[in-house]
Amino acid sequence: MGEDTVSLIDLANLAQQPLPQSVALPEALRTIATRSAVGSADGAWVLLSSLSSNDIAALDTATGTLASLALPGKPSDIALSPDGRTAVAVLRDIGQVARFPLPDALADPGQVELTSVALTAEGCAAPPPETDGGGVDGGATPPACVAAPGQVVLSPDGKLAALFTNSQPSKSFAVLDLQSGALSSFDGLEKWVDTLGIGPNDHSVVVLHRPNSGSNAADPYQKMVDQSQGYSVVDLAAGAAQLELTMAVPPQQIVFAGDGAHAGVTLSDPAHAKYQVDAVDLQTLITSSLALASALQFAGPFAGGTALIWVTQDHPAGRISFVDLATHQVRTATGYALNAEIQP
Amino acid sequence: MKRGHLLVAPLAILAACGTRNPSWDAQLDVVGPTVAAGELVWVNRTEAVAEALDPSGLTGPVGFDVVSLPRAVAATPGGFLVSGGRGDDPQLDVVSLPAGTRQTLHVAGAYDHIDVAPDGLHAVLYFDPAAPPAPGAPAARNNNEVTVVDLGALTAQRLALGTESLAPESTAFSSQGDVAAVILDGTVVLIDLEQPEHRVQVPLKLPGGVALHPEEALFAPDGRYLYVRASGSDDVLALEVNRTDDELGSAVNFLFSPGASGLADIAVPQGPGFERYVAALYDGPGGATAVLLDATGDSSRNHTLQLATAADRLDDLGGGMLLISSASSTAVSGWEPLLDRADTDALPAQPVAAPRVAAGHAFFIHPAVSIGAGTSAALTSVALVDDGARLRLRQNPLVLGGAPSASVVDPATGTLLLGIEVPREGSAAPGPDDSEQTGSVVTVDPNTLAIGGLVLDARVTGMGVVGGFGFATHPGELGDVSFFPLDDPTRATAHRVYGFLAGHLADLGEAP
Repeated sequence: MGEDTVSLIDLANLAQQPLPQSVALPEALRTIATRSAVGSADGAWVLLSSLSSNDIAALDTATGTLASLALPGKPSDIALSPDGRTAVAVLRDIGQVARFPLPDALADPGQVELTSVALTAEGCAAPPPETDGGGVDGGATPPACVAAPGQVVLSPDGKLAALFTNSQPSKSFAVLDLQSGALSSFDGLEKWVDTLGIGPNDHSVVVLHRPNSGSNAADPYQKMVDQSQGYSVVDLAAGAAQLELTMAVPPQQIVFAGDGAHAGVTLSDPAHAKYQVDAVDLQTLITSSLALASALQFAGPFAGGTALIWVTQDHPAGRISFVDLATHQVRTATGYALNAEIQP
Repeated sequence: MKRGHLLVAPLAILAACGTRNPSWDAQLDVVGPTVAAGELVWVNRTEAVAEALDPSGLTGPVGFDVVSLPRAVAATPGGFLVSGGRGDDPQLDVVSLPAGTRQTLHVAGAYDHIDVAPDGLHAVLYFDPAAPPAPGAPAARNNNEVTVVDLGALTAQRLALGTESLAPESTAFSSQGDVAAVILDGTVVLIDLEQPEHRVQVPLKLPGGVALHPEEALFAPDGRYLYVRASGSDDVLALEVNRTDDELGSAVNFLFSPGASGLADIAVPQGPGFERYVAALYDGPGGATAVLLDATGDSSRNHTLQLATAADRLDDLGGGMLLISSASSTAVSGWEPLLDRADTDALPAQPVAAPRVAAGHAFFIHPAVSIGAGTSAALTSVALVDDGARLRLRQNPLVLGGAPSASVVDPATGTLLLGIEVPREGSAAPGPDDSEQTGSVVTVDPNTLAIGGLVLDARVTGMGVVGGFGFATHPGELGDVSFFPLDDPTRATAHRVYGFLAGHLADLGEAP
């Protein structure tokens, strides 16, 4: 992604086409600070949006053609399903979410479906208005005591979209079924939402919270809860949530294991040299903390029905831990960069 | 107490005659004693002579000529080795005891260090970069080499290591004796001793150029891992050793305990359940942390003990027990890591040195413990006792009648032998002597704390155990040592041999 062009590189055809194919971007998408881009897993499509424009640009990487789709609001976040055939755009300025098929909606904008969404916000003077299925109808700006979602996360199978905001204090999120359009909201969180992830079983959500450092709650316990770092594990089917306070250690990343039954939450506090992975049992919502040695970098799952995830960490010679979220076994290999220097 | 083989008087007469050979006046450069094949061996580097003493006293001191310009001596199960020679003809003497048979191997260098594998089948020779090259050798030498000696076949193979490090600093051997780890200042080289051409270099250099300097290296009992404590790292380096008939391979992993810093000591506990484990002691700012680390990097198998006090020493007491102590405080802890049980107590005073450990007991020596209005040297015996409900650290203090000057533990029985300086007057030692003090040996049974011992004729500078005997060395350049049987350590059974290092002077005669 350049400032005013997208360069397409065919990695399978470098010998025949060593130079990238440049595609010029429209003027509205040339401001980097307000621009977002997301690509499909198969590399077929790239979507670009701007906070300052109602238009979404869809780049067909096979042909290098750029098509535009006008939406009724300005996308604050966009997402593509894993198969790259369903796109979701959150239109925070009008409190709606747009979902549309690719490439059909580019030729037929009538296929764009809009859903209004409102999230319960912190500090409302009056209760939020009655909602229909958890959402709020209409395209108007949400009332002061509710917040419009600004971000979207899709489930691994691309069937669900979780909608939330972290630009306003909110202890709720909504889930949109991308096939049926059904919307439900979850208001049972104890702390503000920072980000979240949906598990592969489509009913588990892990929410990372952001602390309310300015809490003026009179109850000391509630004040401690507000000011702590933490995360929640939500079972949508059961309507239950389990809050896990991590005190001063901020959660970093959510990883859902390939077995669909476990998740890992990485936590890192370099100031106090505290690093850990919390193993989450998505059936019981029970969490267990597993200590790691150094600052966390990246984490990810393995394919297949395994509870194993990997976590890379800072170490001058390289460090990676393999964490079994079911058995809580943590095996760490450190020094693999040094191993390359071993010689007979 | 018997006196044996007094050579000093006749030599004094010889020394007074005519013009003396300069060797009469030169201070002897002596290495030893070395316990070798049940005898005590000293190597007089000044005159290239080895002197062997039979601790039973049945035979007198025996002298052997050894390689000229001797540099190092090391014991083997059947005798001892001496390296040296001129730089243009470096040699290694293989001497068998008690016969004194000497076989000479021509090796690649006049090496400064000899390390012998525990099975006595191989030795590794290497240079000390601080030592000057031998006469006749070039003024510079490549310290980045070792020679592996097959002591059965009496063959030597020089290996140019070619590492980025300066020189070998030590070696560690697997308990099977098949693999040697040559420890350099930034590299570990593993050598298959049966096929020395099979070796692997593990450079301990981090990306960015920071080299980790090994300070301690211990093999796992089965030889599968070499554990290394290195400066610059709070991790224990676990070098996996993969030895086959075709090659020797290795992979390194850094073992850690989350949040622990200040790695101070490591130990490899012996016994069932400790396979694939190394114990590490961290002396951090908030107190010490002891961790039993899984060698494969499975930190979920680790066992951790957090202490409120500082500690910097870890000793294996056997039976699954570890002792944790400090050179700077009185705190002492016992730890049974596999059962996660521990007990902590305070010694009556700060120990003067690391504890002597054997047979499940540790002995701490204190230079001064308050006794009434005064102070006295003391000894504390520490053991860990399982009373059925919990682990208890049991202490037994003993007041000593003088200042300890040397100590050793009989590895067979765990009996502590303590050399103590006592006033000559009133003791059984004859006088007068050149000192108003003399030496006394105190024996302490670790189980019953029964005390025995004997008074010797001179102060004690060192102690040891050889072939069922205890020995105490005394001050003196010409050799002075007392022997006593370990099963009957009395003055009546002891005998003293002195002047044995002067035997060569009888051959010098007068200068022409």
